[in-house]
Amino acid sequence: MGQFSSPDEQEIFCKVAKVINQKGHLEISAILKFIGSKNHKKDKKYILKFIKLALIEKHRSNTYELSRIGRLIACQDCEWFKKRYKK
Amino acid sequence: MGITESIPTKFTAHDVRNMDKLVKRGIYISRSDIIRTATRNTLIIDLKKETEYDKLVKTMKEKGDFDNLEGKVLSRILLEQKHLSIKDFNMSERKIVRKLIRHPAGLIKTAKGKFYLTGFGDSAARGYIKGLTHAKTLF
Repeated sequence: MGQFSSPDEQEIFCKVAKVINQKGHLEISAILKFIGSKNHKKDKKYILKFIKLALIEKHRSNTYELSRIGRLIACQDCEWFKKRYKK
Repeated sequence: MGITESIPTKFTAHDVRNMDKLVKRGIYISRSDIIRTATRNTLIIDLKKETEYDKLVKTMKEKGDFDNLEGKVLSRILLEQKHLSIKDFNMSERKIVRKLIRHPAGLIKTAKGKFYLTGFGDSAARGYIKGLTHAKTLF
């Protein structure tokens, strides 16, 4: 606890963060579709873990969004957020 | 930045190199023309394109992440040189510290009455500082 257990987990988190940032609140099935998941079972497990860690929070309408801490972590750890300026 | 605002006179080495290439091709008459046109073009491009980072920072600003004490407390633990104990925080910050200790991601750990950041805590604190710095350039 306290950090991502594997690079895979971090990659999935970054993909989820990107999709939610682009498209807003989404259901788990939609998130899996948009991140281009090849192994739904494994990726869903990761997403449920993020929910447990409160990096993603659930809304009443069964949709999910990044939590406050989730947004801060995505800001630091994800490669695509680091590209601040387009060439 | 609006198009009518004053045009900066300093450019990166990359931009100057590109301008020199254009001069060699004979496309522009003088360097000042190039500077003005290039600056206008970059300003228009910057106005049109919004990066993912900008979008995230705008969302954070709208949701009030930068005004929240969580980020402030985390960044304070990261930036202060000595390890902070509960006495170093005021009453409202103490509530937040207790909340952060109980956070399921385990952002802060305690040892001998001092607070330390874990991996997630460190990332969150650095993310807060980066986001805040970028927000100051946007708003």
